[in-house]
This record gives sequence, structure tokens and C-alpha cells, in this order.
Amino acid sequence: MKTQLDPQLRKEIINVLLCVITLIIITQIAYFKENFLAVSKISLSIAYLYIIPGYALMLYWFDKIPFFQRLFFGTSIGIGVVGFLSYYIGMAGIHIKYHHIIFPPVLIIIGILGYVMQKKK
Amino acid sequence: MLKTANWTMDHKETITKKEGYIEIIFIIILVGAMFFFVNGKLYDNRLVHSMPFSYFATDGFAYLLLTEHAYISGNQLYHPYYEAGGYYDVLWIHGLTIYSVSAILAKTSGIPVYDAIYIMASVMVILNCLAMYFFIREYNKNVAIIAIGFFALFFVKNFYVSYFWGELGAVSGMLFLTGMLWAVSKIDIKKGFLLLSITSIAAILAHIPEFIFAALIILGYLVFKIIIEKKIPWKDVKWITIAMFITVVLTSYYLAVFAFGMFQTQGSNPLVLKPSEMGSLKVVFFQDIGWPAIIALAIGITYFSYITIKNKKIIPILFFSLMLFIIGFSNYFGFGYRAFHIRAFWPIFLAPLFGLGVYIVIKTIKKNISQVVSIIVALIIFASITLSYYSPIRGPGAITQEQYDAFKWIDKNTAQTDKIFVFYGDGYSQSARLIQRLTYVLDVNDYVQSLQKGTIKNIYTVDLFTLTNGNLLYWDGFMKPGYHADFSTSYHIQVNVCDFEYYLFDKKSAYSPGLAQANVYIMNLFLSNGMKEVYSNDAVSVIYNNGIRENCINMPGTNISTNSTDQSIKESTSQSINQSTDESKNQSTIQK
Repeated sequence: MKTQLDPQLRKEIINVLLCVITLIIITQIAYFKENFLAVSKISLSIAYLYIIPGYALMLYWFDKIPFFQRLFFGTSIGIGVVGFLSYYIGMAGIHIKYHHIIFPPVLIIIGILGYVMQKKK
Repeated sequence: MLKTANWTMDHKETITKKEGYIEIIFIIILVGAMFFFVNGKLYDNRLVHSMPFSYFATDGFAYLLLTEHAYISGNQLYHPYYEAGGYYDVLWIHGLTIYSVSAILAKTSGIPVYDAIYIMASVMVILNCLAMYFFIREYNKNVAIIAIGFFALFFVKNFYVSYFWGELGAVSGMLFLTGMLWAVSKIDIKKGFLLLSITSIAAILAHIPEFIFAALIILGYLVFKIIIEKKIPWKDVKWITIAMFITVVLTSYYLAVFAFGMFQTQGSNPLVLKPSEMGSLKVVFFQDIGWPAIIALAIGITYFSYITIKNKKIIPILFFSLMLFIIGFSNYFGFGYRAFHIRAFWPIFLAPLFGLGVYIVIKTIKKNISQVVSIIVALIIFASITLSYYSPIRGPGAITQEQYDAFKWIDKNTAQTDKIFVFYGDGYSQSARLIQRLTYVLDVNDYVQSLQKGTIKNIYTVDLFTLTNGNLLYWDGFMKPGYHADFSTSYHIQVNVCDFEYYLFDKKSAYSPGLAQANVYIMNLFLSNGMKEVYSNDAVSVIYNNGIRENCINMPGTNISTNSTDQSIKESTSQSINQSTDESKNQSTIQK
């Protein structure tokens, strides 16, 4: 069975990707002495760790809060949630070197579940 | 409901596609400019460096060593023993978020930890600007656009000092402070309390003072709302209470550590403090805003007061902005130096009132203000501030490549139990704390005085690097605090120079060449007495004390003989005294 992605959500996902590309370009200009590969790697890491999970967590409020507010406040929330989880998960014995593998996928899944739940209602 | 629809001006959200594109391009340009000026220049327009770059003060080094520790140990349970008087069970009482998110970024991208911290800090500042823009924009797009122009104040004058001196906990706290205030404006939407919970938790774990400020502003907001609107917003009160309850439950462990630790020692800080009492630490003064911005601010506050009384409704973003202006003066009524952190962020926090003031002025001249006019005004403001006040600050900061290489050699090649004695070196009173061993830095004044007398002593005064806040708190049972230190414990102590395993000598100095010359003299004395040079580069040597524990410099109070070389040490030392004493004064002030 084929499931259709909400056109509005699809548009937003494209916008998030455009924002990430913009981040790479801005970063390259601000740090023009750095090579493109390093700039891309760092910008994509920031997107992977904080921007995309933060945006995903805000999907629950898809219809209530405008896109850019969700994106930018969402990124702050992404940073905050990773900081919070890292503290407790680290204390539980999972080394910080594994946190980048665990947190982003988990937060993105939680965000998608929130979006689906909200849409079902 | 907390959210008000629109300001009582001409704002209607009917923008064309073309206007939308223009706005986005404008934001990209100004965000790019912020990135460039906030961190790009400071970082020499490179992201990755071969050593800690642009670390200028002890705070920055402290943030770096804790992040390195989180990166290596994998958690934020304990402070590193080498900054805890040698104890392994001292609880991590400092803020948490900037360290962990930087360590995780370093791990993910493969960049050094010292670069990851400043990249995260700059991301947080830029994000704060963007968040503030869209927060204002929700109420009036033109005011938001004009407000962006004032963000340029962040990287000029004294506003910039707390950033490049490395007060990065506050930088992260400010982001979540903005987040909390935004979240409270969304408290009426479905599950909106979760937004307030998450941002409050983030603020507590980042830097508690910002949480306290935000909580007070929210409380003030509710009180004013009751006074102005003459009704109690029970629904809002309920959701805010639930959000705060969740916050306290989920942060209870850290709050307990904070209460038993940091709170006990920070309580001794003065609650009332004048900016002039901060010594050489530069703080933001009201007049640093500049007279044009002060006038804009005054107009903004006046207009906000007028529409609030007239409409009997509070516009949240303007109220928050006004409160953050007032809190900037809370150094006079109970918040001591924490108020200065808020002042450093006035360019972002007061932007709504600045923007409103300029908007009102333009509106008296031209009734309908187009987006293009607002953009031109914002660009003029941004460019005026930058051209008038911007003065680039660039690294490398308080550490050299040779010094850092020597530190890393010590980290990799010495035992954890080894103690390091650090003779004079430029910036060591700040940077040598990066050595991941118990490190004792020679007191410059003591060194100078003994050299002036022509003596090399066995007993020297030193500073043992220690994060003293919290009196070295540890758990002495379930939720039972114990302390390895108290307020009388001093880390400014006298030690026998022979009781160390390793010595770090700088052979060159930009500030005090005479002291470097004296270092070389003592180093040669050590070597002639049987010690071994185990690491050396152009500027720094590491000497190993292979068991010489008594009279390692021949005898206590060895006199520098009066042959010509030694006489030149005395003379050049005398010349260096004023300079080194000045440097030492600066460093000790920074360490406040």
C-alpha cells in the first residue's frame, strides 16, 4: 500500500535541506580559509546532531507554530535535549562517544511519532 | 490566552512570494555577517586549528578542560582529579550542556574539542539572534527586520568581551532563556507546556542563573497580566505550574548537586556590585549602547507602555525585552555579576525595543512602511555600528603551539600520579590548567623577588589549579554531601621544588625575556644535578626528576654567582619585573 507524504511536510523537508545547504555556504564564507570538505563535515554534523532532531521534535506542533519558529527554536530544543540526555545516559554508563549514534535517530523517530499521533487526532 | 494577535499598528501578514524571498535573502546576508564577525574573524576564518585558538582568559581554558574531560571520561559525573585537588570523587557541579554538546560535535565531525566548543558557542549566538527575529516577527515583521540591525552591537565594544573571554556557559544559558520566554508565549497551544518544560530543563542544565532570570520574568509577566488585564489567567498558571513541576522532577539530581555545591560557595559572591568593582574585567555599561540606540530604546519603551495601557493587553516579546533591560541592572539589587552576563546580550534582548523605537520614528515620517524600507534601515544600522565600533580581535590567544605541544606530551607520557611544576611562561597562570595532571604554577611575584635577591630557592609559592567552586563536593552517603575543602582551604601554597616528578620550562618569553633566561639557568642547574630532559622544542622543555628529592638545586638559597651571564640574568630579570607583575595582576583579576 502506498502512503502519501503530506505535501506541506514534503515542502518543509525540502526547506530544511535548503537551510542546511545555506548553513554550509554561510559557514564557508565566514571561514573562507577552511577547505570545503571540513566546512561541509562540520555543518552536516551540526545538522545531523541538532537541527534535524530539533525540527523533528517540533513536528507535533506542525499546524500550530510557523515553520521558521519550529526550525530555529527546534534547533535550540535539539541542543537542550541532547545536553539533557547526554548527562543522564552518560551517568548510566554509556560513553559520550556513542551519543551521536544513539540520540539523533531516536529523537527523529520520537518526532515522527509525535507528528503521526497529532495528525491522527 | 497569553498570545496577542497583532500589534495595534498596520501589521497584516499578507506577504507576496517576492517579499518572502527578499526577506529570506536579507536574513541570510545578516546571519552570514553575524557568523563572520562573531566568530569568523576571531577564529582567523578557519574552523580547525592545530592548538586551542583564541582562548584569551582562564574561563575559556576551564571550559575547554572540562569538555576534554567529558570527551575522554564519557560522562559528566565527576570533575577531573587534576582540577579537584587530586580527588577522584568530586562531583561535576558546573553547567553541563555546552560541554556535552561540544564533545559530541567533536566526536561526530572529528574536529578537536577546542574548536568544537567555539563553533557550538557561535552557533548558539546566531541561533539566539534567529530565534529572537522570528519571535519579534510573529508580532510585527518590519520591527523584526529593523531590530536585526542592532544585533551588530553584540560583536563590538564591551558586549563582545564575555564571549571571547570564554564565558560560554552563559552563552548557552542565554539561548535557553530566549527559548523559555518564547515557550511561555505558546503555553496556550496544545501540549505547549512541554515546550516550556524542555527549554526550562535545558536552561537549568546549561547555566542556572539564566533559568532564574527567565522564571522571574515569567512570574512578573503573570503579575502584570493580572494587573493590566484585570483577570487571573488560571489556564496559563496551571500549565506553567505543570511545566515547572516536570522541570524540577527531571533535573532534581543536578539541582541537588548544585544546591550542595555551587550554591554554597557562590553565596559568598557579592549580591550588590558596581561595574567599577569588577577590576580589569570589562563589563557593559549602559552608555555602551550608544546614544542613537538609547533614544530608540526610550521611544520603544514609551510606546510599549502607551499601547499596553491603551489596549489593556501586554505584548509578550516587548514585556520580556523590557524586563531583560531592567535585569541588566540587577547587579545593584541582588544578582551581582550575573547581571553583567545579561548586559552582554542586550544587543539581542533589547532588539525588540530598539526596533520598535526606530519603527515609530519612521512611521511618524512615512505612514506606510514597506519591507524594502525596513531592510534598508536595518542595513544602515548594522553597517553604522560595524563601521563605527568594530575592531577585529584575532587569536592565537594565551597559548602558543610549543606550549600546547609540551602539554600534550605530558598528558601522553607521564603517569597519572606525577606532579608537574611549571616555571614562568607567558599565559601559564591560565593555560597550564590544560595539562591533565596535578599542575603547580610558580607564583610570578615570588619568582621575581627571589631572582632580584639573586637566589634560587627550594621553597616557592605556587598555585595549584583547582575548580574550587563547591568546596570539592562529593557524596558521603545517599544524598549526603561531603566536602574535601572549605572556605579556608588555599591553593596558593608553598612547596618544595624538589618534590615533583616533572618540570616545565619556557625558554622564550614575549613578555618577560629575563624570566625565561632565569628559567634556562635553573633548568641547566637541574640537568647538571642529574635530571633528564625528556621533551624539548624551540620554546619549551620538560625535565624529569629521576629521584632527586633532596637539594635538587644543590642547597637551599643557592646564590646566583656574579659572573657576567648570571649578572645579566639579574639585570634582565629586574627589567622584566614590572612587565611580569602587570601580567600577573591581569591574570589574577581575570581569575575572579
